[in-house]
Amino acid sequence: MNTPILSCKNISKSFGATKAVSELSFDLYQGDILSILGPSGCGKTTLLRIIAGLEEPTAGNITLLNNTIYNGNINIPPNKRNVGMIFQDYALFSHLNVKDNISFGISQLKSKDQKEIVNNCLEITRLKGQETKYPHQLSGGQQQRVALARTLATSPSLILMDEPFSNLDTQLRLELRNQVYDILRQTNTTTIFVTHDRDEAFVLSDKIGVMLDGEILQIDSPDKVYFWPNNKDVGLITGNCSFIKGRIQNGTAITSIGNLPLREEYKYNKNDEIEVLVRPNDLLMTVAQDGDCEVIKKEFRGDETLFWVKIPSGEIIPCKHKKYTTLFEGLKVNLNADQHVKFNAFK
Amino acid sequence: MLNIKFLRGMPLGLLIPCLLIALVAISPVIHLTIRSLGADESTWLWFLRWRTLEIVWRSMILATSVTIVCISISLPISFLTNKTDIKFKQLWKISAILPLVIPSYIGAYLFVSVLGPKGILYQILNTLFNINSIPNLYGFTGSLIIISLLSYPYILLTLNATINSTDNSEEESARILGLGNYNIFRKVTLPQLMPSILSGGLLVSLYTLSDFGAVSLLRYKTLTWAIFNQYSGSIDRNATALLALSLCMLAIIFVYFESTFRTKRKQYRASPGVAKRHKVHKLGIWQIPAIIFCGSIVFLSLIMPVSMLIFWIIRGLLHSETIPGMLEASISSLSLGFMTAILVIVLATPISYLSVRYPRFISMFIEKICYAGFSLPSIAISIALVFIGSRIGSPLYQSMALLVIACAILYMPTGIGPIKSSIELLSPRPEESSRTLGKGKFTTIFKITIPMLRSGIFMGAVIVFLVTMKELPAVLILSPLDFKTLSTMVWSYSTEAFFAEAAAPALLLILLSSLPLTLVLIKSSVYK
Repeated sequence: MNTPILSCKNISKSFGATKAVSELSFDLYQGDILSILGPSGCGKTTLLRIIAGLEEPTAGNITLLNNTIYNGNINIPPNKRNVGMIFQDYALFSHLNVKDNISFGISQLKSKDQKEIVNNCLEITRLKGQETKYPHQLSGGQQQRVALARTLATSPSLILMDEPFSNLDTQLRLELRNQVYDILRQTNTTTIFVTHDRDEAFVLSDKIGVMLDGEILQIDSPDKVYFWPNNKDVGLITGNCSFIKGRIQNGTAITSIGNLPLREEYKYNKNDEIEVLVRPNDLLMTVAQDGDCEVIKKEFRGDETLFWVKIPSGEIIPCKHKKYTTLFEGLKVNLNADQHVKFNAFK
Repeated sequence: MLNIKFLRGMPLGLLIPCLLIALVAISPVIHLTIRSLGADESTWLWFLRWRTLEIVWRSMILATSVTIVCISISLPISFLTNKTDIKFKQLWKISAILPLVIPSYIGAYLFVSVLGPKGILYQILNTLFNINSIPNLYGFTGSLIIISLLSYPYILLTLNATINSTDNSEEESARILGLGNYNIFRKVTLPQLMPSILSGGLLVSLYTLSDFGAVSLLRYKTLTWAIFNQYSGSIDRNATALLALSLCMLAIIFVYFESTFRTKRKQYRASPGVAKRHKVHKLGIWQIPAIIFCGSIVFLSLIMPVSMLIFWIIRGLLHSETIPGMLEASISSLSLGFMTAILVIVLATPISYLSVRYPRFISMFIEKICYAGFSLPSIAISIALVFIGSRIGSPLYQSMALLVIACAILYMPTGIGPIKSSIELLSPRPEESSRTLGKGKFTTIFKITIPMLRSGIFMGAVIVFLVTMKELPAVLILSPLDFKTLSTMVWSYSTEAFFAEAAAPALLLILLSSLPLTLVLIKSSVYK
């Protein structure tokens, strides 16, 4: 666990005047699954392509298993890096059948060894019986698993996955997500995968790197990036939330809906102007005729109902309420902090 | 992402061969320019005569008139067969494209064989009514009729493609906004079709400018005729080069003219999804005139020429004239086509790959140069290559290799077309996948890129193969001694008025040339 498998230092990449990735650093250890979470165009795919060697960074250092694969002078080509990559559209070779797709990367081995590896990969990915089919004869999920099998066959030190589930419908996505997770765990494969779907990132990964405008804002475990975001942007990317303006007094935040207790209150000085991050589950909503807050919008979402509530200062915040699905727009309510919650605030 | 930066990321192993190919493609023009600049005073005086201006004027006026006639033939046909309920729609659609397979020199030969001084019409009139003279339809009128009837499909093809791919919703919006039929046509439909009318029109004008066979047979003295005469009758090569260069200039003027008049707006479907079906206009009482119009065009441009060829063959057989042996000429035609196709594939694949994968200034420039053969008349390119060949001497001069190179320069754009579009459809991801799976650049090219492009490459090869067989001027000028193809056979028989003998090779040539068109039509209907 002590030496990282992959270590990226100060990686930057610009396309002309636009910076796709800037000054990015992180380490990854054996068997870790890291997901890079961020909105479209934040540079996450570029980062993967840089690690794979398909894109040359403008600056930085990458080491894989203690070997430098990129610095200003060294640039190991993608075929010599032993890094596997699975593309969003799978990029299967349409002129080769499943078996030949899988054995493509191991053609230098003896045919007996090839056979064994292919069989093993077919087994892991549950593709037995599909060997002689061509990519266009397979379903989306099967194609995805061929792409995975093809990559696993070369036993890469690291697998990169670019939005691997985005081409599948919801039902299949959930199913395949679990299968892929099991395979990666079973083979103890170190993986980086890129996604804009936070649920996917939460479920799959050991660590999440939240990325925005070419920078990784925070790398932490899924619960940390959700509950303890480093800044407002991380909060917004990792879940529904909104912000309430307030002022610090005695280690708590004074806001228009009352005093909110803060995590790490020692960080703030008296009278600091701050914004408190509020998640839908953080506040308790009670119906009161003389309430000073008002439900202005109700969003029925099946498993839950989200209410958008206007607080006295005019800010609008999301709230969940399990019981009162009959609440309606225009209703007066009171909001109180949940006793167990300590809030995050940002200057 | 268009990243115009010099060389950035472009592999030299690809760029250098492509530069060399481009150099070969442009060498004829460079050579003609150098020769023309080297012409002495007397040659220039000879060139700058009133007569030269007349010849240039004829070329220009013919190209312009043919283009106008072709537009006025193809616009109604395209509209009728795509947007109305005309009867036998599919029949008109296909048969109106087919005249494309008849080379203009065959059309002209048939025209001469009917309307010429010793032609059928004269013979009939002479026997029946004892008429001794018929109006002379040679020259401008004949050339205009023949070339227009055989080249209007160039515009029709581009028009049909546009009509089928543009969304009907713009017309529907115009209708909802209260416009009537006439105004919709003028303000919506016509602007939509304008780019394809212009680009089809450009094709037709370039085709007419470079036409040699028809104008020579019909004795209309255009630049191509002058170049050929100057070449075969005079030893002053600088004079020939001057004429050839001025023909190239004329072609470039037409290209420039089209590009300035083309509206800059891009054609694309605004709404996502499949294009909606077109509103079908009911023809009503106009049904019969519409059928007569389409029918007469198809009759004149397709049925008449083909049936006349058959007539000549039967008549020849009845008069117990032997059909000339075509085996040798067929083999020459086929082998010329085959070698050119192979060479074009080898040259066009790297050029197309470079321009699609590395869209930089220099790759665009290389591609444009390789398109030169498309706009430059084949007679000018052949003349230039003859000069280059004789300069280098053996083994190049009068060799098959030089002829194949000439045809490759001429038909490279024809090959680049389908290859380029199949590369455009090929995502770079499989290649990148192959790299991350441990394969080097060359292994990837041979195991992934080329196999995945095979249908586009095959398509390009077949089309080049079959259009090369029709080529006339290049073969006349560049062929080795005693080299005979089907096209030169038709040519030599018809220039000597052996109409019956010319018929069989002409028919064979038409049959062979219709194969690529059938292939294209089948392919486009499969992928619809």
